[in-house]
Amino acid sequence: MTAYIIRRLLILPFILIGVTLIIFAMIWSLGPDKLLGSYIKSPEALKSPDAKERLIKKYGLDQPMPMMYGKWLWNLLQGDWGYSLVGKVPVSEAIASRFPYTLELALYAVIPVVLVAIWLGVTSAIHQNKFLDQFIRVVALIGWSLPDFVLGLFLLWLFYARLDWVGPGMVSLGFDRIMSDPNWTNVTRMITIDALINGRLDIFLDGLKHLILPIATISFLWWAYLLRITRSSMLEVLRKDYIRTARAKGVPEKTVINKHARRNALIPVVTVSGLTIIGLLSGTVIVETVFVRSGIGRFIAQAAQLLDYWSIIGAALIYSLVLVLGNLIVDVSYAVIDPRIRLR
Amino acid sequence: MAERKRKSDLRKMMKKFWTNPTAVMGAILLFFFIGVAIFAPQIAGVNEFGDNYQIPRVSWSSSPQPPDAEHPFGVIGGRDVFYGVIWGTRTAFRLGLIVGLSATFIGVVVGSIAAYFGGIIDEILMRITDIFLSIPFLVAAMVLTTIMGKGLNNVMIALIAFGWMSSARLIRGNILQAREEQYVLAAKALGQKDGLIIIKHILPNTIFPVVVQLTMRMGNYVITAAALSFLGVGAEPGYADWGTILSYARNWMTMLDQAWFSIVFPGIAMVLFVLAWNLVGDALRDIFDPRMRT
Repeated sequence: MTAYIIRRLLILPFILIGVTLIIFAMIWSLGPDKLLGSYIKSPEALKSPDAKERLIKKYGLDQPMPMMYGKWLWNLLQGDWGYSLVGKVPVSEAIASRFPYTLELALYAVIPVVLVAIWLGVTSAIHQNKFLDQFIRVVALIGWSLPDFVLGLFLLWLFYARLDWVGPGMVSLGFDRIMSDPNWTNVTRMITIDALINGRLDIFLDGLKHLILPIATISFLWWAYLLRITRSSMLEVLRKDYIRTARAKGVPEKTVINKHARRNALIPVVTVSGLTIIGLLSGTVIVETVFVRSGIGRFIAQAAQLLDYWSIIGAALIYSLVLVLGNLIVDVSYAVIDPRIRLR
Repeated sequence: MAERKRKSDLRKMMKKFWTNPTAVMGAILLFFFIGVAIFAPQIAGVNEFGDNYQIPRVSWSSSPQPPDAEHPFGVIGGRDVFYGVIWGTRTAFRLGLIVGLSATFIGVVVGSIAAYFGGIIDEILMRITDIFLSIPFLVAAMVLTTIMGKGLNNVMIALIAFGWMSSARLIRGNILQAREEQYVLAAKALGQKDGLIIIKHILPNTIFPVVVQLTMRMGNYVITAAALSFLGVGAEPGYADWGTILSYARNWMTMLDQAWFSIVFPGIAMVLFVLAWNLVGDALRDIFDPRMRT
């Protein structure tokens, strides 16, 4: 157990170096000319004839790749992630101010995604191959096949353009002015929580209202995946001898399902739910773009359109960091929960 | 004898496939799309002014025109949505097949080498796989297409570059299991060459799950490519591709009532296309994996 955790921790730095190496190789392949563009803030700087060569030398863009990589990694560790054209501030600052919005969305989404998926999966397994099971599976498969931007745009059309119930954005129009007011205290930078801290119940409810459509979009896509795992795990448990014993000795079916079967069936689901949180965090690019929520996802999408390389790289690094650390936590907690998995 | 047995197994599987209602539905949908792709010039006409994969401009006004007799799916950004949806089917097949087959091929090669030789080679290859898996797929594809520039070919390269890992892991796991089987040990004892053992004995017995995975991922690749186009880093504007049409709708996000047709029609096409592959893949998995059946 300890050996397994230590092994995982030892691999971690290699993975992180590998990720930065891949990402750096991609920027490096742009060549010195294009890279220079991302350093220059105004066209004035290039006016004098030899300015380009001089600046390329100055920023060390003509050096061999390992040298440049080392310098870039060093800057990265110092917190110098470059300048963001999209945010008009340093990349690290831009990311720090946007990350809470993404986190907020992911945290709220986990609850409906996981709970409903488990409930559907168990229901589906109990009614295996009956109409209800087939129905749930077909609906879930449709959800699995539905691209998130199509569903998101569709919901926006229905609830905004048609019904005028809730629009894109994170809060209604008047409230964002209150929130950028100097009197507004930012603690977590998550809208709903800060609204409560500031004692504005109306903003809290408004923030929640704006979360509903994005969460509905995300949920529908994830249900199919989690449901399938819950269902097959439940089916496997239901075939076990101890279930037959329980039924044979006359335990009511409800107790068999709730106490004997479901608890055991949920072990693999717990792991996958952990992965879901990571997936939610890293899967917000589209949802945030469609619903105009200014989190990391929309940030990277804007940066990609403006060819703002350092912002893209910074956001990609954050996404990867979340993914790597999240996976580590999930793997370790899985080993703790299920004694059978003390791998190798 | 063995040959005949394999054939009858295959026939049994085919029978199972064709008696499974969801599988039949998936197959019918898939054939429908193949038909649309083949007869695209007859259904939607051709672009008289150049490349068929460019949606011809029918109007210079940027405001959307709702569907009418001449343009059954409406006009957005001056482009005929019907033409884009029909020719986009070809794009979807081309993209899905090229990306799916190439990514799977790379994955199978990497996974087989890692599993068969084991030891340090396995360790290195699997850690590289882990590293590639550590960047979210969409984000990685976005970074690469942004850097390489717009265009469908660059999108395909990006999707292949970050899409091979799951098949590598899958085939490695399967081979590690198969390696201990008697027939492989026998072949080894007979002195057959490593490469030959992999190709002749191990791969045929471990490839089915990979085929299932390929079918299930086909739709995923098409969706991701469309997502890139939607975000503005995919195919060039005006390219006959479902995501491109949807990206026009982005400019009308606050006035979607006037542009609903540019979401609904390519959206339906995309959902049905992905659903077709998923239904077929789902059925194939049930057939190949008897545990899921009972």
